[in-house]
Amino acid sequence: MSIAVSIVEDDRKTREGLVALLRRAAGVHLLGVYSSGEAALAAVPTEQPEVVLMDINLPGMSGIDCIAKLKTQMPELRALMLTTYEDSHLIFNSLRAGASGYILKNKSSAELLTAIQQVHEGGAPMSMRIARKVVAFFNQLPGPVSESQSLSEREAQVLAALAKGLIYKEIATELKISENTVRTYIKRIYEKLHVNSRTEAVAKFRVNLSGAE
Amino acid sequence: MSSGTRFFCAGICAVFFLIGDLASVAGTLTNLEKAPPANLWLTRTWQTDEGLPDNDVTGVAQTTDGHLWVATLGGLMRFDGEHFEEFSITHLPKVPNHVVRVMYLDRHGRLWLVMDRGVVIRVGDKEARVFDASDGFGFWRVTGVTEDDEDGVWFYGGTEVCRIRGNQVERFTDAEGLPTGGNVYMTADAHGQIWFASRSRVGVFRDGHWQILATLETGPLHLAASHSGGIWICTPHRVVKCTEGGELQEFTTLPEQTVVQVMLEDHAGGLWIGTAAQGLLHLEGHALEHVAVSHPDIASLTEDREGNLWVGTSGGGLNLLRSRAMDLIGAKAGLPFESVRSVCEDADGWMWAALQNGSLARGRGDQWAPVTAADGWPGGDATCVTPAREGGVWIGTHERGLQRWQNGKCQQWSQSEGLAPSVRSLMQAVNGDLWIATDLPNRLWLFRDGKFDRLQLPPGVHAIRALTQAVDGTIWVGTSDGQILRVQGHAATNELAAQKGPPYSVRCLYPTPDGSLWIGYAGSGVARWHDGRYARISITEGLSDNSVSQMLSDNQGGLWLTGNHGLSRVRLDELIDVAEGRRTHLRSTVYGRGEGLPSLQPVCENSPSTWRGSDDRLWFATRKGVLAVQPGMIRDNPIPPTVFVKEVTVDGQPVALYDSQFPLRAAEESRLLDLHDPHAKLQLPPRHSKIEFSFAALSFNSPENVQFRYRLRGFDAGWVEAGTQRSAQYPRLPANKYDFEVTACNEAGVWNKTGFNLPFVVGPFYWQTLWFRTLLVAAFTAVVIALVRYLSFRRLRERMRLLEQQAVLDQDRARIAKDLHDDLGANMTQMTLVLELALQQRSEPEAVIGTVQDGLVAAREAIKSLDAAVWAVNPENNTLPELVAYIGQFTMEFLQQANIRCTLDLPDHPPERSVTAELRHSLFLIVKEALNNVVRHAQATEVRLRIAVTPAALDLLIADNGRGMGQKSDDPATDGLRNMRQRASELNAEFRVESAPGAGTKISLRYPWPPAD
Repeated sequence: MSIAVSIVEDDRKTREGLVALLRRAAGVHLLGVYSSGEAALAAVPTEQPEVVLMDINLPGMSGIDCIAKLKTQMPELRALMLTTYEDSHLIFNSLRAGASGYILKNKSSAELLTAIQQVHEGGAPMSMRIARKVVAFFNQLPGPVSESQSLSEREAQVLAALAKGLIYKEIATELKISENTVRTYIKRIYEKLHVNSRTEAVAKFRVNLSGAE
Repeated sequence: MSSGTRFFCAGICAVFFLIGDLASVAGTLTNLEKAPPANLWLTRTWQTDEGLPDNDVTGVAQTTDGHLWVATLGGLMRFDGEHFEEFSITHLPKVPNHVVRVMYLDRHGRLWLVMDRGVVIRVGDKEARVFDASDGFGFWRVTGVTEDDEDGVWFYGGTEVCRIRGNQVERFTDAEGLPTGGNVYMTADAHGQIWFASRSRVGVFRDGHWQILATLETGPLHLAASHSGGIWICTPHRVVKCTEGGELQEFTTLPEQTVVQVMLEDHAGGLWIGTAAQGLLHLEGHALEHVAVSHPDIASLTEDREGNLWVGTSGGGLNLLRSRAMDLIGAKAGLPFESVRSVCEDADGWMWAALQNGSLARGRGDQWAPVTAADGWPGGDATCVTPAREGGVWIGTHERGLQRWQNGKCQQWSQSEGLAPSVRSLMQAVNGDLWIATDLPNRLWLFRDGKFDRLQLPPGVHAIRALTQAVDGTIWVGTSDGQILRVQGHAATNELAAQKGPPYSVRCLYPTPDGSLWIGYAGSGVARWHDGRYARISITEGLSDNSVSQMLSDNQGGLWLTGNHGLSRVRLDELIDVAEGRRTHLRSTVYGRGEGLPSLQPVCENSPSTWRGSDDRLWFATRKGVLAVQPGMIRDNPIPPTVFVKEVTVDGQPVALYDSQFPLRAAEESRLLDLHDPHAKLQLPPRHSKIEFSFAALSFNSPENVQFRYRLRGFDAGWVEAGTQRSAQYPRLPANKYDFEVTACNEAGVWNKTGFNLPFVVGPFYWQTLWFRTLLVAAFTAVVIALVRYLSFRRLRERMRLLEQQAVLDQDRARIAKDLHDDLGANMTQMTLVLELALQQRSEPEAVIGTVQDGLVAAREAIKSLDAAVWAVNPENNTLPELVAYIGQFTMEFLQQANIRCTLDLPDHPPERSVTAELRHSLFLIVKEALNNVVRHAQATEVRLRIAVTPAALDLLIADNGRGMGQKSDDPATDGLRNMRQRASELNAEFRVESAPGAGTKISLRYPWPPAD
């Protein structure tokens, strides 16, 4: 079954390139193409794509904000962030906002399609730099947190391996699990990252409320 | 007809109505004669409810400062038009109580108060002097006081006469030649000559002698001075004038049993006679009229400088009398129902009114009668009435459509002729077209040549409120939903369609000859539509009311407005000036209680609801009757009001008072600063939270229309328009010199040009005083000197640091530029070459593919270098964890591409310390160089990267299992080593290479953290 994809990208040439690429590719079909986060926010919820390709740097509403808003309406939506440079802050913030992966714009079309596939199945591969940020994030979580928020032992091991620069295959060998299981763990890590940033937002909201009383 | 006889007729009419015999007047219409206007005098009364201590007013006088002094049996009061202020006199010695029997104001402005038990008080500006029996006064029955031209003040009463000159008291009896035999009455004529009357004889006191000039038929006689010379004499039966030579001239006879008490000639030469039981009489020329006041026992009379007559009564309080300019015609005048829908005047001068109960009435002046079947009107719930150009009137009805009444005959058009039955408004255009508005909101009807024509109005019209024709002939329609429709041919278009903002509900329209169309709104003031320009004016600009139900202009440049708060008048030129932005404020004069009118409720359901009569009288339909206004009778008042600050309070406590040194002030009041004294210096304390200035203006014509403006120089930027508000409040004022200025205008808009100026000083807090500041400055200087010494040292150090920073920054920039040039430049050059090659190879597709793939590699390389450059310049990456992660990932990817196994040994949680851009850059390049060496020359299969962080240093190790390096200087790897070494030395880092052929290479670097600042 082919994957329903929408694109949000403000640069016309990049957008046209992506459209041409996806039109020709097997296994995906293109639903909507938007040049701004605002436009996407208005249309994506009705159009219900499975994966959205989202440029991080959008004029007006940023891609990160757009994903955060879309995720509240469509928790099942998978977002693959597009970025020119591997700016770990922006990427990490996107993941926290609910993105399931990212890809550099200079990657080949085959790599892009693979990434879409992976994102659709769970989470896209996590680079070592991002993995290190994620580890740091989970380490700084305060005190005892619920299970849905903290990493399980296995997840932590996978993440640590990623942070050491191991690739999926190596992790699978080291932990004696299949590569698919590694992917499942990574998908859960992405989800917990998002859950945490959401609860953080709720906590902030509560603090504000009690502050106003 | 002279005005005098007109007044007389009016008086008779008034009396006539009081009797209640209305039948003969309200008979058939044809019996009505052209009647003069009635109710010519407007009376306003103050009694104990309004602040008087007692309703027996024994004396009224206006002092030169403009105050009105009122003497009563309950004490002495000073009136400023709004408040009565009591002045106690019982604290003076020998004064038995506060009962003032007679009051007199002499030409020096001193008040003479005749008290009980033979006591007289002379009140000057500075002192009050009491005269009694010990001064030789001892005179118990004073009825009047007058003054000669030699500073002698004369007291008379019964058969006694007494004179006070200076402090000398002199009594006159028959021994001094005073004619006896009856009560003495005295007055001084316009030249200060003393006249006297005793029994039926009249004479003068000249050169110390009492001379009889004339003898009348009977006494007692009452005297009053005449401005034209001689004196007025009232005998019990008639009024005569006596010249200085003793000649008598009769003016009128008095009603039976008139007992005269006081007399006064007004500025116009009219004589006012106050009687003991017959009220107030007014003689103008030879005509005598009775003027109604609050009580028939008149005790005192005076005229103020604005020409108002003040009448003190024994039992009815104080009255203010002036000529009346407006009258409300109601049931008393014969109107069958008091609530009026529509009013107009026909060609014969008859006024017509359609009343709220559907009946119709007509009349002249204030004599009205219902129009009935006997007059030829079949009835039919009349809603509006307008004159027919061909004679008679058009009548709009609620049930029977349109009617035309002329000469006792009535014609009717309704549904059968194509007209809706329920007519609301009528307007006959100059060309004879009759425009009709009905209950149907979307239609307008035109009646022309006996035929009805229907005009469709734009959608959205709720109700037609106004119908009018401009001077240029345009027909205008105003609607309750804010549309102003211009009727052209068969189309009606909303002229305000392009107007932004919410639609304001229209109540009335009024065109003026300057081409303006004035729009009255239900709660949004008025607007002017002129030459396609729209300007709205509301209470913000000085309008008295935001609801405007009716508008009508007079022939004196005034526009009269009625609204929920009654009647007001503005000047049309001021209105235009505000509309065109030439001024920001206009003045609005409110008429109501001051004119003796009840609260008016205008109507706006039907039109016409106002009419300007052929005699320029203005007529308004109201819910309380027909209001008739004679703008010409509204007297111009050229006298600007005296204005002054009455009192200054600080946080509610009075600190200064106007006339606080006046001798009749109570002790606690006289301790306050006198605001009347131009040399008084007002000093206010610094510790206060509110300063309030109360001010007053003395104008009695219409005190509620006196308007104020004020400004506090040193605080207010400009004048503050206070309207009728009589006080100004300020928050805490900083220590400084100030000037509070206030001025006022009377109801005619005449401003007091000089106003009142009150300079004052707000004192400083102790910390604002000079000595405190000097001390402070000295202490401050000492601190500053110490600080400067310290700071100049610090600043030098700071400057050094900045210079160093700048040098580092410049270095960084140069480095980035170099990187961009070397890496990116090389990649891009390669790409252009490749692309060109591909172009040349277009005939050999196989070759092209290979070339383009090379190009792709170059492009990705370019992006990678760019990525590195972006990473290097982004200050967000200036942390150790970022650096470690970046180097780790780079190493991993780089070696992966070269198919070399990579082992990373990185700290899990490097401390979050910041690293300089220089360290980041150098360290990264060293790693890159080292890895390059490995990939190019070492033939290794495995590389280990280790980074360790301790509080003292950062340790980097790159070890491979390659062939190792010889010591030969021609080893290509030594180039890279030299570069690495150089970079390390720039970082002050230890750099070591351990290598032996076949044993791999170990590059280690130890970077000690620089000491923290």
